[in-house]
Amino acid sequence: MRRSARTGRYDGRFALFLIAPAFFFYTFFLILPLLGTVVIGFTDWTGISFATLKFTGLANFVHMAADEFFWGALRNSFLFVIGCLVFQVGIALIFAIILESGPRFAKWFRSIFFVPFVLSLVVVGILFNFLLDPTLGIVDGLLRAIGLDGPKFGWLGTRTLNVFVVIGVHIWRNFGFTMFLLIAGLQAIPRALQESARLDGATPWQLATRVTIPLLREVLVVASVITSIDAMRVFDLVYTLTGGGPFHSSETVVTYIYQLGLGTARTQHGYATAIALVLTVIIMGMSALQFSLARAGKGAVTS
Amino acid sequence: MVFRELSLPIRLLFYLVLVAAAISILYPLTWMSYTALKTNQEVMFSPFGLPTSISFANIAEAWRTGNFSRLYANSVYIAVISVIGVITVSTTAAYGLARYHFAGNRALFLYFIIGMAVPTQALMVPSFKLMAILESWAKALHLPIAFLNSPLAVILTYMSWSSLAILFIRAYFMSIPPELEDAARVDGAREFQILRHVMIPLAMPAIATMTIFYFVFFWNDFLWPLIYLQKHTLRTIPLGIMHFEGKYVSLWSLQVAALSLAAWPPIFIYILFHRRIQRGLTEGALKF
Repeated sequence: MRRSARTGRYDGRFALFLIAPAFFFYTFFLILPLLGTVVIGFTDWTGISFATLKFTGLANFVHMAADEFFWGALRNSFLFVIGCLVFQVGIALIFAIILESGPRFAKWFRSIFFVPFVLSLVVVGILFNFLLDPTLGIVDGLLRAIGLDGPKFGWLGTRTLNVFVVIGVHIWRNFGFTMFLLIAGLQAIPRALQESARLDGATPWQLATRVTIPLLREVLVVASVITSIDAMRVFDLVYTLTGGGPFHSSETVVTYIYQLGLGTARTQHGYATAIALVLTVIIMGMSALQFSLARAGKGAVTS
Repeated sequence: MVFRELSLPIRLLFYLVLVAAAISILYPLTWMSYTALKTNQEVMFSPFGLPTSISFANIAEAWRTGNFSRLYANSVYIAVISVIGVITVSTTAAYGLARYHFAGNRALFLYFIIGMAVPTQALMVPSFKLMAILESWAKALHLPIAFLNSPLAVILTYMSWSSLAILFIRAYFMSIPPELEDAARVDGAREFQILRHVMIPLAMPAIATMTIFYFVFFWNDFLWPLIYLQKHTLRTIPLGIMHFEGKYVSLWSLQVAALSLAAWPPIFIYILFHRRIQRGLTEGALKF
């Protein structure tokens, strides 16, 4: 420790001493793997010895362009993003507005909707494996009770359907959290604004669409981007509900990377990393979009 | 919108929607909880009915065969060490960045912010290779450190996720008036004492928020333990129940009991501290 009373807050050496530990862990275990992603994506490296590292140029990306499983996984991930943007944010917005208008038991409802978010996705995935079981699950049981049948191969075993079921479970787990983000945004809106619009004779519908939602825009953008990035990175739920199957039909980008790089195959490190690089670019693009949109949103609200 | 000024049918519709959503959440969790307390026969003959008598046999059996005491010990160990680690290094770094003017301060801050946009899942293959390389070096040097199949790999990975905590705590430090520090400095306190006895206590709300946020995240994380902890004695809760469910496929009652053992403690803690947890998770995310 350095005595620095005289130089006070201008002692950069003490600051660097404070920053060094975080810098070390961050640089070696996040930035270095990030740079590794950029490099390994252009190789067919499988082992850990640098002697076997061979650059293959764009071969991984050429392979990717022709890989139907990659496109399937990418399509599923985008379905996830769109599904969550429309339904998770939509449901959260509706509930946030209703609960903030002051019905009875609002605090109870709020707290209940948040419960699934504190559970791990593995717990949620396994729980829904039981609920959606074709023979013993409650969902098919209820359907049978009203004379209907669930899908023949089960909710999670039917191609094209299974992705939407996983998206539904994801929304079940996360909408309460999104709702809390939007409630925080609603509470930041000055009461006076809504009050004056109301006194001017605005209907509740006009109040919601013309006053509340425009004022909420900034938080809505933040919530949308958190939701979509979360959806783009989905792994645990797919892994526990369908394992990406049957026959890769519910694979998402992250489960596919895991399958190729560290799952049962464990061999295609270069190719898996090339896909990871594409994922990183997509997600960084989404983050950048958020920041620019949020800035534009800020302008719109304050002006 | 003011709820009591809405027309009666609309209000009823809203209540109906709220109640339906609440049931969709509470029913699965209740079903799980009472099914765990049923006997095997009861589960097979009436999977949805309430238990006629309460039996803790499955719970005890799941705890034993699933080795839950080990799973809990592992999860607590990894989450606690990682949270202490990442919050400590982030708090000191946040203070250094918030309060000291030096060349490169801005650049360092931006460097730390890159991590906010990086999807950590995308780093799984290079991270695994990095740990494997470190492992081989440690072996070559005869160091008694294991990276693969060791909680260390998971903890080091978690400790690199400091971006959010630095951003969040730095913003809080910057909102504290500098007069408080200057007064301590005039009284002859050393820089480190100022941080330890003045600034950290003042920043406690932000530090607590981040602690909750990271703890929940680490506790629930599945991917990194899955990658690094193949030995069954090292498994965390999510990894442990995943394997449990695969092993006892035909024994529903036992599986549901194991699931409950993983789900009850977080729910219980949430019931006790729901306001803090809601705030911690929401504020942490809104900073993003």
